Amino acid sequence: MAPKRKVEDIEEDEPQEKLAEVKLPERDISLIKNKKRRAELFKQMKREKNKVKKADRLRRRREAEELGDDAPPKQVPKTIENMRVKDVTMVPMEDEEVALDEGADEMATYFNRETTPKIMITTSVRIRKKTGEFVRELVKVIPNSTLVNRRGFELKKIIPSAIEKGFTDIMVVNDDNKEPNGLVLCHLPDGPTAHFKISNVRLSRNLKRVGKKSDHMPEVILNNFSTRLGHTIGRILASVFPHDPQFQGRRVVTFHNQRDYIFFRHHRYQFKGKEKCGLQELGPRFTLKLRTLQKGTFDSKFGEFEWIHKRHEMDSSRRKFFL
Amino acid sequence: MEKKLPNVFVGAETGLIKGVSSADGSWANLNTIEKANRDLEVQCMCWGNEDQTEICFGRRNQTIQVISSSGNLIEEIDASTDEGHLVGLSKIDDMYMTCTSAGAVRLWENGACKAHKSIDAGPDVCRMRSHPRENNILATGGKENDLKVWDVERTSAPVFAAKNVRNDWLDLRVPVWISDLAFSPEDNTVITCTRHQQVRVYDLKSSQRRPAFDMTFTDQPLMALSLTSTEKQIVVGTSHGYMGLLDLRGKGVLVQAYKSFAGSVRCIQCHSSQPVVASCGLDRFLRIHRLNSKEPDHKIYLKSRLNCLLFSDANPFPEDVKTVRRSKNKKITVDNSGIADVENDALWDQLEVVGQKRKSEDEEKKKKKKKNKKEGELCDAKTQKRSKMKKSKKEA
Repeated sequence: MAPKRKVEDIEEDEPQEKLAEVKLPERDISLIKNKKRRAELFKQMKREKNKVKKADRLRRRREAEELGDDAPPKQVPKTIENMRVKDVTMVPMEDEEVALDEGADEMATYFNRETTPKIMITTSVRIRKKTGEFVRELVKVIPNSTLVNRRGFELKKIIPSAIEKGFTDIMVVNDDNKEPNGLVLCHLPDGPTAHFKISNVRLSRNLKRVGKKSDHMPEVILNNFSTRLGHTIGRILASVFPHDPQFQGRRVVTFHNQRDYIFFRHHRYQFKGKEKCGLQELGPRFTLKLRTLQKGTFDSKFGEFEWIHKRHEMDSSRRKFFL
Repeated sequence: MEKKLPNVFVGAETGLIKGVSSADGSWANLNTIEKANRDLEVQCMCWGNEDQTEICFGRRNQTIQVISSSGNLIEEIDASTDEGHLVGLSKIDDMYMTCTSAGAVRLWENGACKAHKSIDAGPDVCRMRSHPRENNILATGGKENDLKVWDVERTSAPVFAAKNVRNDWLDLRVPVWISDLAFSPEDNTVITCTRHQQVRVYDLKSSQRRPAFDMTFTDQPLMALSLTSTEKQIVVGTSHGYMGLLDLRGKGVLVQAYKSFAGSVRCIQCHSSQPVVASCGLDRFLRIHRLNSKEPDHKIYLKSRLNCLLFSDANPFPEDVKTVRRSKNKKITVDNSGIADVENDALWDQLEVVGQKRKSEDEEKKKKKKKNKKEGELCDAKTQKRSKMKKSKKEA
């Protein structure tokens, strides 16, 4: 909007020019008190912005087409992931000391092929339908696992008997509000114990076009476990599945870490020609988020924690991740 | 930049000893091991000599190694007794004293055990520490194994054996699980912390065997403690990654909480003269805090889970004028040189002797009173003038 000129100013020449040069600041739409008018103006502003954006995009595309190979590289969008705060514990490709540490940790016996996984899956004491179904699906996903009725036993008493029976891991699914909401994954015989939050559970029957699960040993994909803590979590998750996948089964289990949320997916793949590959989901789907990592077997009272997620202290930046 | 000499030595679970310089936060491994093994885990450390140039450390497989601060191996002793792992190590003259978790306290001289000076401290010992001044005194404590203070010269019975506190309000026995202890040589007491969240002080002089002071701190198991250079103040760390400075006078209060921990605190060491504390633990970080600030000065990632540390008497921040980072934007300079003393002297010279001051004060008071009287008269005159002015204005 043009500034109103006073009568006095028009009479003199010099100040008139100066006034024309002065640029008023853009009007702050959020300060307009009339809601309707504010909404209208906002809509208008948005439309104009989009117009400029679109024109810019078109111009860039045309330029790229004209220049061909000499075109400037495509712009990379800024995301929270690629602006991640640098983490000192990030494990480089060949780190002798980390390799040394991992070579002697509790999961080393699995990776040295001295033990084969045998998993006990159980639940919290009173569960509802959905958790029951979820656990039954987990048993189908994880080979060599057995579902055990909790029957009100204390977890600390179950662990010694499980060690005696040769189990290598215990998974306990917690039920709250008729939904599975927690997972304790305890490696035996001497830890570590990871406690996850489970969210967004979708059972196979709620997924579209699901396939039938086969009994083949699955392949395991672990994505983006890059820090020292992430490595440990990756090793714990990997040691739940047997060593040698049966590739003819084309079954694959994925743990994909993105922004500290671990996404679980279960697929069968199919090669369609040389370049194409089809995926069929087998279910279930769920998301894990690490709460604590404890040294030793489950002992929430006297156990020593290797890592605890402290929300108020640690979540200071949205761009900081721990796995 | 010139590399600083290490003044903090940390023992790791992988069997490595790490020398860290608190001045610039640089670190290096002092020893090398080809193959990591659970048995090589460093579990306890102590200084090998008065100058703090030699470091002794005990491994899980009950061997003691002595290395120089530059990393050369000086001595290796096999100190294996029956079973358990090492929970305490100290050097007495030319002898090493070890304690295993099974409670076997042994003295080793030239690689041989002095059998007549061995002590059986009972099962499940979690910590053994020796008296910082009197070499022959040591204390042990553990799970259901309350504090016992021993004399090496009198091995048959403890010099002091603690008695458990009275039953609780439900008349149930209070469980015992000492996780760490420390001698306070000034007032001849022993301070313990337990996995049941208690901090207790036992007075060795008195005939009372129950703790003279008992407080609970947080709802998490306490793992480590260290005395500060200030009397009656200790730093305590928990298994959930929480560390605080406690004042043990009166009922006991939390003076300062420290931040940036992610995992269990395994060992804490305060500097012998300066208000600086170093701590390490399962989250693989060594942290160096100033006692009066919650954020650490240094937070150094040392790649392995850390069990124990030694903090040398050398000045942890050797530069004379150094910058202390309190917040992101604010920088405060602290002067450590002798200038402060000179200033102090000047200040004292300026002050008057108390008796003289009082006299002069009285005189001044009298003078002031007189002045006030005069001023009061003046004020009255002023107000009169003002009212006159107002009147004249109104008329105008």
